[in-house]
Amino acid sequence: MNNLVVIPNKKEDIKNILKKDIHGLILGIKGLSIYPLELDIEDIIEIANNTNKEITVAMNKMIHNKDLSLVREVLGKIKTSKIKKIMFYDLGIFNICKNMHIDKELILSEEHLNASISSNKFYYDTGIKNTFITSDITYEELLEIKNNTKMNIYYTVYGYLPIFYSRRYLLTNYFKYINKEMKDDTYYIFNKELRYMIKEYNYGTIIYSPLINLINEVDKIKDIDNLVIDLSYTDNIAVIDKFINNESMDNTYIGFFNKKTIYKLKDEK
Amino acid sequence: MYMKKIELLAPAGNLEKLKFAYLYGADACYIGGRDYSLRANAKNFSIEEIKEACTYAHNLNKKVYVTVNIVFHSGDTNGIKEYLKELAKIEVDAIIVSDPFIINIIKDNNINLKVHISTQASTLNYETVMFWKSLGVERVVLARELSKEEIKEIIDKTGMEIECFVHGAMCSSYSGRCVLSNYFTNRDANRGGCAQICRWEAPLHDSKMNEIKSETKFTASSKDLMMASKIKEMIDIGIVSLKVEGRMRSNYYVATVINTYRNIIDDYYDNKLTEEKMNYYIKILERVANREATVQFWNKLPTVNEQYYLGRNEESNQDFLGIVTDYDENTQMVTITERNHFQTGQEVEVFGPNIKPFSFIVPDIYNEEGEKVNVARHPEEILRFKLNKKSI
Repeated sequence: MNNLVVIPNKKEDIKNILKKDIHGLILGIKGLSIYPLELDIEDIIEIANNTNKEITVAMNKMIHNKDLSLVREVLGKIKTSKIKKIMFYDLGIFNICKNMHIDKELILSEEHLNASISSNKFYYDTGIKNTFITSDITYEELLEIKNNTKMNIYYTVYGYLPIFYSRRYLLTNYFKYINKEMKDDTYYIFNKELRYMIKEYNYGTIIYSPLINLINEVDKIKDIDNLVIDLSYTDNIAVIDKFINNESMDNTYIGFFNKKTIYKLKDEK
Repeated sequence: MYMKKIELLAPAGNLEKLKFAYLYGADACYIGGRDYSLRANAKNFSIEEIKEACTYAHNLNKKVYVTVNIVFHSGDTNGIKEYLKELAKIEVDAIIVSDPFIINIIKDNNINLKVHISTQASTLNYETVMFWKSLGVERVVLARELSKEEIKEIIDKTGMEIECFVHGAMCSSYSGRCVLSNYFTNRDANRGGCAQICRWEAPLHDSKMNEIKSETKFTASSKDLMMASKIKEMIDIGIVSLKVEGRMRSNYYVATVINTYRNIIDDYYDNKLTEEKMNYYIKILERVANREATVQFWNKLPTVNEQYYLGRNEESNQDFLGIVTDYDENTQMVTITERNHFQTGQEVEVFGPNIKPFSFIVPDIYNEEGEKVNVARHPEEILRFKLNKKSI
């Protein structure tokens, strides 16, 4: 039986989501995460104090030198809190956790890296016992990692996945070039009738995948520890119940769940 | 006091390019094996060729680094231990990795290989560098999104060997955090199949799905990197190696770019780097490039001026015509191995590692049998023509 873990889209949704039969929440910290819902660490600590569900903080932004003092400050507050886990992308955060003797469980969330049994064994031995597994591999490869490592695995089953993250202000630059006003906060490009969302932030620009929805596939990955419903940029809280009730849905996009990407080196042999 | 010169690190897609790179002044080359390396479209090196590259380089007191920098899937790890042992046996000077489990294989099996962390790992801060240092890594190739101040702080706080890109194409995304290629073409960006989707153009739509009307479509395409004007600063803050991008580039490109950076570096250490010389070097680099280039993140965040909105625009403004293999002082005959079409009457230029480039009009051309052909249209054909160097 999988745990269901939810990334909320809005602060006002949190209370409702916590009432559902889920294992926990992942909440982005202001200034250190790439989620649209970013909260002050004090707010997250308060949420953790008032629920029995597992609360994880996310620090999955690309971390530059200037961000490190905020990372240390936040970790100092997490250290004595009821927050259970710390999720991060940048291995510098792991280094700080070690140096500060942070006694919390760590979740590595490298998005498109960490895609093999060997890599997961390496990180487990290094002291990181939880990891997001990339959605760029097939479910069979995912299960292989689960069956051959001790990792506690997180896997996104619903949501828009960041598939391009630039430090550049690509929308601002484009509108400046074409001499038009940038009036919207969300733009799209299309490829083969699939829609890719583009958002610009103070830390750069992210392009997202089409909406991944693996609701019809969860039976195949029932051994995966944690299935993550990422509601960022959606208001579809109802989808949580659909996953809980094991319902099916039409017209779902499943990305690389059962489709291997081309490894050109091998093809050329 | 002896001052150790900064390393000039060249790309080499095959043995010939590697030899060109050393001839034109590279201190080290990075190459990819047939497996486990990004840049799947480069010819890359067999184990025998890596061995030959190392022998060639070490005889010149130069170095060879081998990229083992794909993001491995479970099925890709077969044979990696044996491969690493082979590289150690060949005595490659270091391997460049992005997937850290390689470090454990090396440690667990007592394989004598130094490790450099690839830019694919997007190392951006001094704490991450300290993480790599704790694993025994020798060098980190930093992400290309860093400013001079950020790099300096990393060097000052870690004492690690830091390598930075100095010239060539840029990823528009942080390396490793882009899989546009996977989604748009099914080609795996982190395993060497990047289709450079960031350079594609597409109509942009707003949140109501209305197309933004413009003759210029949206693209994430970035101009290239050219740090020639900042070499002095890069040396002064303590970077140990300057890396030129482009394992898939031509011999001509590698030779010209490496030769130019060699001259800049040497002139700087010899206190001969005048403004006039720098302007000349930049002119050479601009001439060999087929895309505009800037210093990107060095002193500010890139703006509209660092982006490309004019299509790929990669028409080369020069052709590499051939390699001069001999010049007979007595007969004044030049022997050349042809690479691209040229003919009598065209103005061409000769450049080399130790000569100032010069131009001349191509006179009558003869083939190996001494027949007058006047048009060179067969790559690898041996051709001759007369050239009085003194009259140039």
